[in-house]
Amino acid sequence: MQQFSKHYTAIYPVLVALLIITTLFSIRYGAVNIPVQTMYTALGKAFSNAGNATLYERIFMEIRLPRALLTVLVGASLAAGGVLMQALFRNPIVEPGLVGTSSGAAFGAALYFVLGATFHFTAGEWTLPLAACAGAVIATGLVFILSESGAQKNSVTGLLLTGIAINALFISGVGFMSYIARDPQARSITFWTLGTLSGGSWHAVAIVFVSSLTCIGIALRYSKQLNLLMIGEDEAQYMGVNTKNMRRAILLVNVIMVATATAFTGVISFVGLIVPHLLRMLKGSDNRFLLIAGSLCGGLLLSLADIAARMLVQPAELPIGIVTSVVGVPVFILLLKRKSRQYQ
Amino acid sequence: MLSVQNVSYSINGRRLLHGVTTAFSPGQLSLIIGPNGAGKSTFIKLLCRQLPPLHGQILMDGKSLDEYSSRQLGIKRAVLSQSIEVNFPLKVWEVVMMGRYPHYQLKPSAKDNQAVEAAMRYFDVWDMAERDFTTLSGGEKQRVHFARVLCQVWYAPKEGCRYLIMDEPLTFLDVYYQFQFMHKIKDLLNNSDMVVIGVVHDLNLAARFADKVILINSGTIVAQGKSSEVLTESNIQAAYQLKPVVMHDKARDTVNLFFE
Repeated sequence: MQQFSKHYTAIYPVLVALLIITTLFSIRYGAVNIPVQTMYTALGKAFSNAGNATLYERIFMEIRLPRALLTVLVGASLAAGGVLMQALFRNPIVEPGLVGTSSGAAFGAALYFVLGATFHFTAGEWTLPLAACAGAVIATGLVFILSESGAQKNSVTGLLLTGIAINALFISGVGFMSYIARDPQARSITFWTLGTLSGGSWHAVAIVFVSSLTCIGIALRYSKQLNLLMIGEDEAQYMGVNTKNMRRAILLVNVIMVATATAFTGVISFVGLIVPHLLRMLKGSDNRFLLIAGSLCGGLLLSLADIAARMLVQPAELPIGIVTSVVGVPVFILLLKRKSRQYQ
Repeated sequence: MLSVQNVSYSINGRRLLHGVTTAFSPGQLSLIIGPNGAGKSTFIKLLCRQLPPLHGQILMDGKSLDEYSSRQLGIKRAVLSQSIEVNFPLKVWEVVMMGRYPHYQLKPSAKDNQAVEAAMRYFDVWDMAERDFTTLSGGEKQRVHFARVLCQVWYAPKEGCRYLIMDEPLTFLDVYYQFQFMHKIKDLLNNSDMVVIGVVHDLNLAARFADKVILINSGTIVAQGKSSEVLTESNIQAAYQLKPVVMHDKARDTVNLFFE
């Protein structure tokens, strides 16, 4: 008798190793290079609470390390969100932002900048992410509520179309905000909608760590049900899945995970689209594999993009969203071409 | 046993099914026929609990369909719908294995693996096990789905019957595979706890293979029973507005239909 299973075990250690190497590289190199020795002493001092850190040790502990970790976690969240949304919409060219999460977050942030300028408060470490998160939750909630009523009730198509409409609404909202904003706020909005990893504090790392691990853990429990969705929503129901409950759970997991990540970094596109695609070409469509490998791969890809963003225009840095788009768009078009050839 | 008692369904005030009463017994092949828009698909959806009946009730093994959880249904009842589109690269065995999903949590057991292999061999798709499902032809895909739904109900459940419900299963098959499929389904019915229900368009296939033919027209069952009783000249003409020539095949106790 044949044992049906695929062997994914070989790819995980490879991805973990690559991720560690890339992360170390991104910590070590930048506007200033941190010697490995300094990393050791900084960590030693941090754990023994010795308060006499040197400048390089402080750069390492307060800037490089949290930034590198945040990058990995945000990349993982976005890629896992991409896996979930593609499975849920039964469509391999879907992004986590599709249900309004990213545009909602961007609108929340833009509104915050504009109101801040009017009422004279400035972006705090907490208030901006909170505003973004609120925007994301409102937009996604709207998509969800609207798609559960009306003719397209409970269908994936309905959700998709509602998502497109709400996205358009919130993107024009962002446009309006940057139109009425004065110069510094307008710049902030632009910067935020292009994504930035420079806000990587330990608080951000802790929050995104908790949200991404919890959400990916919950999503893994649904991986089999998501597999069934690949052959159809009715089919999944015939094979014992309560698709309505599953859709709610997956959307909730996705909005928490992506909104939290987006709240601290701004809009970073294409990671959630490209990563699951690449992995599917490599090893097929099993969602359990895609979630685990996708998280690792997403962290890896965003780390690489961050290295590029910091190295290319030293000592300044490019917005990370520009780097992911510049890399992502050609890859995406290649994938589309490949896809259409398949169908011919 | 699946029994349908005085079931009606309407949408936006339009009556799609009205006062439908019938029963599907184990060991029998029941085939539903009827013209386009007669309510066949609606009927199948009600049988699969995709739609709730407006009036009446549907009992599976004596228990109302509503009382089953999704998973309980998935364990004893497999459904093949009309058209299934897959946009993701999946190996053929991965698609078939999905039929076993209701039966295991994390990893398929030896029993699950055996069912997958047996069902694939049964429908001649074993040789394609490692191929990409999306590259198969329409007929090949359909046979893979046969294997999937069959392996879902491969073993007899702890109690009650197992059910196989198929909406137009013959669509993508050539004549050879249509007949082969019907023979294989008949062989499956040697299992005394197997209930098979299908919608077909080919009246002669229905006549030849069905133990029970159910003719639906304008949302009601016009006739049901043995093919020679249901497929009469007047029934067919009333339903399809086409006058048939009915030839009795005494040896097989069935009828052949010709249209002019």
